[in-house]
Amino acid sequence: MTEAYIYDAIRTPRGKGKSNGSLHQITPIKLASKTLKKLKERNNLNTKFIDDVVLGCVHPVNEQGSDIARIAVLDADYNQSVPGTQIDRFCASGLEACNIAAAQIMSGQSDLTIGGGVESMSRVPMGSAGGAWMTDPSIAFKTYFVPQGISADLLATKYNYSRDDVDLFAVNSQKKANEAWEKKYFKNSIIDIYDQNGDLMLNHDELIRKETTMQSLASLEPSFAKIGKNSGLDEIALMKYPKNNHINHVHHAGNSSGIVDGAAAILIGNKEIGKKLNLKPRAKIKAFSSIGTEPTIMLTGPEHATEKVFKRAKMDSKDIDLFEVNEAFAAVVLRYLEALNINENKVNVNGGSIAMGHPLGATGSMLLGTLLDELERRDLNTGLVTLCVGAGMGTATIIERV
Amino acid sequence: MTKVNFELSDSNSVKIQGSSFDLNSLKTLNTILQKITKENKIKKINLIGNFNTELEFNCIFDNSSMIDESLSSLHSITETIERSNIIFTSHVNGIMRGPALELALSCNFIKAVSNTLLDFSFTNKDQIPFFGTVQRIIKILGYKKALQVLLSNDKLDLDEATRLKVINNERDNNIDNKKPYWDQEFTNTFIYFNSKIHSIYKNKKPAYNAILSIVFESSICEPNVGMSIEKRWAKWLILNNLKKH
Repeated sequence: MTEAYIYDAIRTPRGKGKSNGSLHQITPIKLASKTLKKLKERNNLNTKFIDDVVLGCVHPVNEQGSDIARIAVLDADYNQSVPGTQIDRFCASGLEACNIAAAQIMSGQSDLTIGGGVESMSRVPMGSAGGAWMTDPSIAFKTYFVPQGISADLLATKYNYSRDDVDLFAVNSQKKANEAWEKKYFKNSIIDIYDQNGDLMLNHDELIRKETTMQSLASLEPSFAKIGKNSGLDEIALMKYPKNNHINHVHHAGNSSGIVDGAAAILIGNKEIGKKLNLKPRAKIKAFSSIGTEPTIMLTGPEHATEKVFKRAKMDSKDIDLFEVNEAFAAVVLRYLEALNINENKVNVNGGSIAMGHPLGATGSMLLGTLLDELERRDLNTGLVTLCVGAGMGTATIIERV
Repeated sequence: MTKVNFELSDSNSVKIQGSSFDLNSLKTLNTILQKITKENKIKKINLIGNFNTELEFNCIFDNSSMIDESLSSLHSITETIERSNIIFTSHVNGIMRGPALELALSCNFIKAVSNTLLDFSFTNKDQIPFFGTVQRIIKILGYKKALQVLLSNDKLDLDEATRLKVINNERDNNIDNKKPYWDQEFTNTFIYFNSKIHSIYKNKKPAYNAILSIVFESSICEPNVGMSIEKRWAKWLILNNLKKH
């Protein structure tokens, strides 16, 4: 099998996903094409050698619709021979896009590809794509559909994570992210976003709240208690998990991932194309996996995807120097640490989506870049990225520096 | 309970007598409708009498091989009223319930007085409106209110029914401004009703599932397709009920 190497990784800063967010006035297509342009510029790429651009996007409708990857390629002034495809594996779309891009290399069908993702949650709000899962009664009933927030609270209930446990995790995420920004740990990957006049729109992750404390979080009301009770969603979760006699609603805006806008792109290729184009390989993609899990609790995918990828790579958690586990909700990471008995000092060392936000279709590729930067900064070798995924799935990828 | 009979009077009125709809009731009504629509002499018909009725389910749907035919004949009655050039007006005073409520809803006009009550209790009897009325209710009330009245077996009094333009308001079949659009509100509405119904009835009351599915699946369809979807779910429910009994 051909080896797939990561040659570069970049991302936009994450802007608040609201109308007063700094990236709200830029369209998702521009977010995506700016990352592609930057990748071309800083690697001096002749884009005719790129075989495909795969971008994750969870709500591919309206201005994010109609294959945003190909349109971003055109807007980025790539050679017109470069195709693009948009994929959706919910929250892991950005990582799955990289895995698919890598698979094209590994299978020998492509030499050079780009994986990445984009989501402008301020312009194309969460839920815009609709979908049978939550709306079609015949599917919702069959799958015991509950929204992710209820699943997160069910997860916390099932594994006894208290409000203090999840809040403490969130405070640490904010601290680590703030420190990472202050020490410029993300500088290698971040591209500043300018408007059409050259005026700076955003050059930092604007969601971070460095002043977050246990006390400030304690004042926040649980986000899903009311809807859980009033809409019968708690009851549905308990029908599926009858051993729990209630749902402990512990998640709120402060210990769940933030809604943000952003995009990312990762340049992936085989050894020969790297030599030909004078690109320096930074890491190789060793193995990846995706897996389906129970859809009502929904968020346990990372542990199972990790077990699956470990089996495939003949590795275990001791072989991994650093982990990036998407902080969709605090309980997701707490469960991951417990299930795989992982030292928390190896996980999300520069914070995560609770502090910086989770631009759905882009997050997976952002985490891959963050992991690679940190492995290089610490001069470590092996890292694993994983995300929980809607409808009960998980995706994981292992990379190794070269 | 007395069987429903229909009587066509000289004053261009069709009187509903009795309260229980069986096959004979339907045959009589069909004959009257055929007569007046074929003759094409009458311009206006008044539907009067008792609107507090119920459907004899076991009588009408006693044979599983005849379900399609039975449903088609129920649909064709209200479609004939709805599509006819004759102006049909229901004159109501009191409770409207069951098949007579469905007949009234297919008329051009429902003229009602103070103690009128529209009783939409179908699902609590393991039934849905079998005359194609779900599509009409969606058209009049919009999908959200339609779901609410049908799933909670609501009763609308004169004030509310007037405000919602169900009664004392001429029906314009060309206007369809309540057609659902798949947006955030649509998604949230179905998440809400799906979870409510799932948590309360735990998937054991198929009439509720049928109503939810009819409204959901017909949401993007033309009216005739919506009727066809409604018929499929009606058949599914009838087969379910026959199996149970």
